[in-house]
Amino acid sequence: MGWPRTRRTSSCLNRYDTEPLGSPHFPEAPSGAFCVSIGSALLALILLALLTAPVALHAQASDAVFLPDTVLRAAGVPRVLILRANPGGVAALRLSVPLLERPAEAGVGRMLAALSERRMEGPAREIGARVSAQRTPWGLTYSVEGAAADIEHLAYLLRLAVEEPAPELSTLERLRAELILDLDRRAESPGDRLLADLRRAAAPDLPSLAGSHVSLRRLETSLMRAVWRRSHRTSSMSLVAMTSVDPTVLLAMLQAPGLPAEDVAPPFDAADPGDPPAGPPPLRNWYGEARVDPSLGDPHAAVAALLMSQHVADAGPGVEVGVRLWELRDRTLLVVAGAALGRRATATLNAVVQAAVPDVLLALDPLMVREAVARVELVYRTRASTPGGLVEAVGRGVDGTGRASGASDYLAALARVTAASLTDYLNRLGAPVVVEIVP
Amino acid sequence: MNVRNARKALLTVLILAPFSPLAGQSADYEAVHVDQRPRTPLVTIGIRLPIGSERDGSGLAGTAWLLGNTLAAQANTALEPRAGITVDVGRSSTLFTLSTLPEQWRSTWSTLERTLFDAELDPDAFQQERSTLSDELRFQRGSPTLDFEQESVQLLASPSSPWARPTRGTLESIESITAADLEGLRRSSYLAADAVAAMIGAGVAAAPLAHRRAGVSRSPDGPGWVVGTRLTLTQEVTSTWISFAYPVAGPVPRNALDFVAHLIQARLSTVPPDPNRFGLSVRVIDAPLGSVITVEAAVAPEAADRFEREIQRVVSSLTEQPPSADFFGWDRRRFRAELLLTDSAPERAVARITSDLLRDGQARHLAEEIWEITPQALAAALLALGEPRILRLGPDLEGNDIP
Repeated sequence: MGWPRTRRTSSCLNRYDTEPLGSPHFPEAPSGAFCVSIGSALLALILLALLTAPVALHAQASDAVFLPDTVLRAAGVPRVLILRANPGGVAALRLSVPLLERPAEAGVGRMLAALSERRMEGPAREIGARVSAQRTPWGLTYSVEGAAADIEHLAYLLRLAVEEPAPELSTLERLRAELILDLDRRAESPGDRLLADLRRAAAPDLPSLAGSHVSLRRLETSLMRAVWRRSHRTSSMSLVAMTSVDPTVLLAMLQAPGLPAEDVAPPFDAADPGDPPAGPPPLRNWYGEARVDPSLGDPHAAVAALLMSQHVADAGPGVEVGVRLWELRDRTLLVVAGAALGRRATATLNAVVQAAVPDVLLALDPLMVREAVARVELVYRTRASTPGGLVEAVGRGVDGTGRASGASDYLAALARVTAASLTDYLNRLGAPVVVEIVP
Repeated sequence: MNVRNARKALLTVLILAPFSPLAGQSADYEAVHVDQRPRTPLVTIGIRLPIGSERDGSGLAGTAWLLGNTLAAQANTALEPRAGITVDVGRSSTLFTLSTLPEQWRSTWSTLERTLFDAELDPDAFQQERSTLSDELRFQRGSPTLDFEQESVQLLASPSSPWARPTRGTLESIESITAADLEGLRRSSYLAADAVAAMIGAGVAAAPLAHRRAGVSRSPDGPGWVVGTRLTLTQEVTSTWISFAYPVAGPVPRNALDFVAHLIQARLSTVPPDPNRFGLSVRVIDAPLGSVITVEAAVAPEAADRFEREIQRVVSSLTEQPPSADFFGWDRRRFRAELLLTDSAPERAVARITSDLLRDGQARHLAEEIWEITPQALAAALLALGEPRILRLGPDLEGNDIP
C-alpha cells in the first residue's frame, strides 16, 4: 500500500506549556476492584444540581459539539461535564486537577504524572484502553479512553490515576534521572535554550514546569506526597466525560477520588532554585522574540501565529525560522525564533524575526484573515475529532477559562476575528522580549 | 404543467437546493455508508475507487499513484483552507479522504467530486507531483526497507501479477509517464458508479443507493498456496527484516481474521518491549491469490533466528490451543477496544468502512459483530491458516542461519 500524504504549508507550532516525560513507562501488575456505592445525601445533591444547572445552548449548531449536555456541581464531588455519546462506541474521560508548584517544587507535577501513568498502564492493557497523564499549565490531567462497555473499568483507571503516590525508591530515582537527563538534553540544544530563556524573560514569575537541577534533586517521596495532598482535592477537580452513562452513575463509579476539601497554605514561600546550567556553545547564531498576550484563549493569537508563520516561511537560504504559540498558566506567548550561520544570514534572520509582526500588519486584508480563521478552525476541530480529542478540547477550555463553554466560546470568538480586530490585537501586544544566543 | 407552475417549481427547487441534505452529492456511487456521529466536530468523507497500481500499464508503474496525488493536490488547491484532502493509493484501490468544516461539507464534497470525475487535469500539479515523487525515489534508492517491501509482496502474488508492482513506480517508469497517461487511466477507470463512499459527522446525509449484495467478496477464497517456502536474501545492512505470509483457506469472516491478526500481534508484543525488535506489523491483506495474514518484523540481525522461531511458535500455539473460556473473553474484549478506538478516528473509520463496502458490499457494525465472535469461530479462523511463505532479508551472520 502507498503511504498517505499530507501537506505542510507552514511552520507554525501551537505549543502548550506541557512537558510530559518522553521515555517509555513500564506497567505494574493489574490490581484493585470496582466500587459502585454512593450515599443517598450525595445522590440528592447531585440530582438537585442536575435540575438547577442547565447548560447554555447559545452556540451555533456545529459549535454545540463542544458544549456539555450536562454540568454537574455538587459539594464533595468533582465538577462533572458530560458530553452525551452514542451507546456502544467509545467512552473518554479526562480528570483535571489544579496544581501550583512552589519554585522549589518545580518538576513535581511531571513526576506525579509519570507515576500515575505507570500505575494505569498495566490495568489499561488488560482491556485495551488508552491512558495518559500530563502536566499542563494549570495542573495535572488524567485521561482514559476505551470501549463504552468498559466504562466501569475506565473509571477504575481514573481512580488509580489519582491515588496518593507511593513509589519505590528505585522508581523515584529512575524517574528523577530521566527528568534531569531531559533538562540536560534541553540545555545542550540551542533551540530549546532559546525558548526556555524567552519563557523565563516573558514570565519570570512562573516557575518552569520542567523543574531545575536543584528542585529535582530535592524531590523526595515526602515532598511529592505533600504536593499531592495539597492539590488532589476532590472539590477542585473537573471531570469531562464523553459517555452514554448517567452522570450520577459515573460519579458512583469514581467514588469521590482524591481528598476532602480543607484550607491549604498558599504555595509561594520558597526561594528560587536558580538558573539552569549553561550548555555547550552553539554552532549557529540563534535569535528569538516573544510577545506577551496577557490573556488566555484569545483566538487572535492562533490566527496571528499562523499568518506570521506564513510570512517567515521563506526566510532565505541558510536561515531557519519558526513561530510558536505558547500558552502558559495565565498568559500567551507569541514566539518567533530561528537560527542562521554566518554574518549575512544572521542579519537576515534578525530582520525576518523582527519584521514578522510588522509584515503581517502591513499585509493584512479581510480575505487573508478569513482564510487563516478557517484554517485555525479546521485544525482545532481536527484535533477534537476523536472522543479523546474532544474531551481534551473541552477540558482545556474548562481549565483555561473556568467555564464549561470555554471550547465553544473559543470557536465563537474565532468566528468574530477580522482584519480590524487582528490589527488591534497585534498593536496591543507591545514590545517583544528578545533573546540571542551566539557561538 | 403550465408556465406559472413550472416557474414556481423551479423557484422552489432553487430555494430548497442549498438546504437539501443531498445537495453536496452529484455522483451515484456503488454504495454509500452514512455514520451519524453527533459529537464529531468535523465532517469526514471517504471515496474509494477500485483503481490501484495493479492497473498501471506496462512500463508505466506509478501512473495510478501520480493520478491520485495530482487530483488530491488539485482538490486541495480548490478547497483550502475550508477542507483538506488526503489520498492513499494502494495496489487495488485508491482512497480520497475529505475533512471539512461542518457548514461546508456539501459544497466541499461537490468540489471533490468535480475534481475527481470531471475537471481537467492540471499539468502544473502533475509536474509538481512527479518531481516530488522523483525526489523521494531518488532519496530512497537502495533502501533495504523498500527492497524488503518489494520482495515480500512477491510472496502474495504470482510472479507476473501487476498487483505486485511497486505502487509508486520506479525512477525510470515515472519519467515515462505523461499527463495523457494519467488522463487515459482516469477516463477509463475513475467512475463514480464503481466507487464507494463513507460519510461521518453530525447531520450528514446521502442519497439512498442500492447497495451491492452483501457478503460477495471480490477476493478468491484461497488458500493462495498449499506448500510453504522460505527465502533468504543477503544484504550488508544493519537490521534484518522477516516476513511470514499465512494463506487463509476458504471464506473466513473478516472480524475473525482481524481477531487472529490482533492475537498474533498481541502475543508477539512483549512488555517491556524487546530492545532487539525495532518494528512489528501484523495485517490482513486481500491479495490476488486470496486473503493472507502477514507478520513483518524488523529486528537486530543477531536476534533474527530467535524472532523467526518466536513468530512460528506463537502462530502454532494459537492454532493448536486457541483461546477459550475466560482467556477468550479477555482477548475479545481487548480486540473490541482496539478496533473501536481505531475506528473512533473518523479518517480511519472511513478507510475501514470503504474497504468493507468494496470487499463485502456492506460495512461492519463493529461493536455488535465483535461481540458475536465465538471461540469456535476464532478456532476455525486459526485453523484456516496454511503453511507460511517466509522471507528474510539481512546480513549473513556466519553460523546463525536456520537450517
